[in-house]
Amino acid sequence: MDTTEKIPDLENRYLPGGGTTISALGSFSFDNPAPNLNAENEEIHLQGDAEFEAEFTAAPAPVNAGLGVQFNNTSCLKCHPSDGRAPFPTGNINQFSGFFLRTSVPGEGMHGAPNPVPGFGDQLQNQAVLGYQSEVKFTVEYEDLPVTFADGTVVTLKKPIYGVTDAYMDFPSDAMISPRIGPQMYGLGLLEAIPEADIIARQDIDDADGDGISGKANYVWDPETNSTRLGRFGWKANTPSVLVQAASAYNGDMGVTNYLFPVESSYGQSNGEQNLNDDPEIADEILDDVTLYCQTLAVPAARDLENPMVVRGYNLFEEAKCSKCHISTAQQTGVIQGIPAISNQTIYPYTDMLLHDMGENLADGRPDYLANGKEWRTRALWGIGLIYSVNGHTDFLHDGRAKSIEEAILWHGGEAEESQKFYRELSEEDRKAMIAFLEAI
Amino acid sequence: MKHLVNKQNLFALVMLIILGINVISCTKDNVDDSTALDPAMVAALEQYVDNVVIETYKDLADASMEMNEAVAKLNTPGGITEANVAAACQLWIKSRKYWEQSEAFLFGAAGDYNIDPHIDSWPLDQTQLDNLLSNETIMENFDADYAAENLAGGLLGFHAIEYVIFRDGGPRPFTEITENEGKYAAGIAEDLMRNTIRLEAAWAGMENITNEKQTILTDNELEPTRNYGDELKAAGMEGNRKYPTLKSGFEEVINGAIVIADEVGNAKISDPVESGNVLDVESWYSWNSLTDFQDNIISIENAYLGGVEDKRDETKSISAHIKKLNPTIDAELRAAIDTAIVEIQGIGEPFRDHLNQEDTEAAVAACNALMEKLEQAKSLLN
Repeated sequence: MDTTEKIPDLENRYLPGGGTTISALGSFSFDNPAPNLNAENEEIHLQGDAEFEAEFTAAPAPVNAGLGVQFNNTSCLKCHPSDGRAPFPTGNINQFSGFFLRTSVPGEGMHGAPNPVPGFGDQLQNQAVLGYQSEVKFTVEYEDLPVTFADGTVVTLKKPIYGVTDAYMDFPSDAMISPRIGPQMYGLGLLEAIPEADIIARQDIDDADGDGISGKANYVWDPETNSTRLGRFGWKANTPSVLVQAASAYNGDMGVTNYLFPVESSYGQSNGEQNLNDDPEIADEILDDVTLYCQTLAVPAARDLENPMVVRGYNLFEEAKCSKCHISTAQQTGVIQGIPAISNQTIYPYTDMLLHDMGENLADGRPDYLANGKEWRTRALWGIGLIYSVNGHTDFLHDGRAKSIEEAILWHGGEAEESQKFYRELSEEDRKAMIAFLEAI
Repeated sequence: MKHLVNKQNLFALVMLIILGINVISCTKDNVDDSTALDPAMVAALEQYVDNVVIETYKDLADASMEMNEAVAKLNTPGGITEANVAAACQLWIKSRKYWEQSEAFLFGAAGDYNIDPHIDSWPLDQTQLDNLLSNETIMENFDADYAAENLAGGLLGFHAIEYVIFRDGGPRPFTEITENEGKYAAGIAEDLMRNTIRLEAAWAGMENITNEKQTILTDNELEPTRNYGDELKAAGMEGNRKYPTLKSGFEEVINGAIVIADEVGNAKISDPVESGNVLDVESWYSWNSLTDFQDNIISIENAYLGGVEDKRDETKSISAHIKKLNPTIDAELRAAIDTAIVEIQGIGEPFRDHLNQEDTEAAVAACNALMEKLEQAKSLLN
């Protein structure tokens, strides 16, 4: 193949978020309002920004009351530092961090959702207001997974094996657990604005084209519209909108009730009764402001797309068929009512928004609506080269287990197995080129 | 983090999109030729790292060690005395000053290691604090290790210590302070001290802090994992992932200043005025709020003019570079810094008694004007 073939459509590709793109390097690459916001939306964005930072306190309290009783962290920002990506909690896994475990027992819950664990729900909170016992504490052990490149280089991946301890009541032996880490926040409104028809058109559930890659949309319950809708957000696409994602995070991550989730996540539990009749604990407009804030953070501009090494990396990315899922062509957003800034934009997120079987090593064994225990939603790749600058780490994938972009590639299995093998066959120089491309977009 | 973007830059970027013009030019400089680095800009970043950031963090760590020693006395038999409380308050004010003067550079270690929210969260979580202090099982063995591992931001840091030792703008009557409160404050002060030492080490390098500080970090497994100072000083040099250009290093410094100017004007001052809730006022128990805000602006001044007051060299400063590009904007920015300090002072002490638009609008406007000048200075770097 010709690895010097120029990257197409540079004009748009340098601006992966279309008109929401901002040219920024360093620590402040992710926390900027989209530059094309109108005055009304910018005002809401700035208000949402302040609320995103708000530190919640246990009720009753005169400021930001409503934390817990069960929770994982105390503000939105603490799981999405600098609107970026949380690191995996090194050392003590139960320190305050952007990490938590989802859980369910076999069977289906309401509307096809995961079946909540009696007494624990569908998310495990490892923190509790002082005076209450947390649901559980998390544990983690590691298994070494050595990977050998064609040139003999060996990289040892650390496979985390999670568990729970110190449960406030018996934790069922058949309960499944699945890890999560807080991801970066920019570009979410654009992903929400990709027309559903475009996403569905990319499905190939039975692999009719025989390329070994299927792609499946998730369909999930939307408590805003009381209907089943396309899943777009969350690591398994189990959430239909930014609004529902934000509302469920307030409730599940911080124990803060709101108009979409007005019942405490620990309601009815012996370690969770609050009895303050203070729900919802945040005003409706706070949830709406934070939602718009999350929808309208600027996407960082791409860099160095004419650098020969980056060009080489792009061509290898294509040859490896990474772009079958991390699609590398332009996408068009539709219209999000009231937010012209994210409507009708040409974007380069490098995701098909679909679920794919990622193999045994990444499997959580926990179904989530239509996603089975091996399936995960393709992550957007725009801006990932800046995470080191913004957050000071390079912990990738759904729980931060990959310690570099290269490790993230090596974790790919299932439908991505052949692409991962292609990468392992590359020379060191070509491997660096592919990483250079991924760090540039 | 509230962060207003450079409207001029953004307008230009949007126009490029609208006009369909290739924007490669705005990214080409990501690959600097290290042999062509402007020596004056390199010197300005070195001066910034060595004589603004590291100096401030060193002073902060030193003051926090003194405060820790003073607060620890409140956790000794008969140690809760009027003199000891007053001494702790003085050292809290001293530490607080250096912390607030560091807020123009909350990027890097302060964010990556979660130190800013760990030691300076507001509001205090009073309900949880009451639960903690009345829980004899926890309090029996309460110390800095327990605090670091188990407490959320609303129970840690400056404002937690402040709650124990201050009331109504002065030292709290010592007879009101319980033994558990003394023990709690001591644990929090030690935890705060460890984190401030980590900040100094993260920018200066472990080898450049005292043996005593090194021991504190190694004993608590808090050794920094990278050298933030070296990284910023090497802006534009080959292989620098975070600052691939000198310009990106300068932008980082100015962005840090913009963020705190915005925060002071549009959050620290405006939020309590808007809500009318005196408990939205940071440093509520010490009535140190206006000093905090002025120190934040001094942080910008130190960053822009090339050093903390006694280490300043304006010939090696961001200001000197901006002055070369546009002396008018440099002069206006300097004036905006002075005005912001004066107008914040003009609100009148204590801030809690002036939570109205009339008393605060000039200070808010001055912070916004300063932010605008910083944005203009940043746009000159293009």
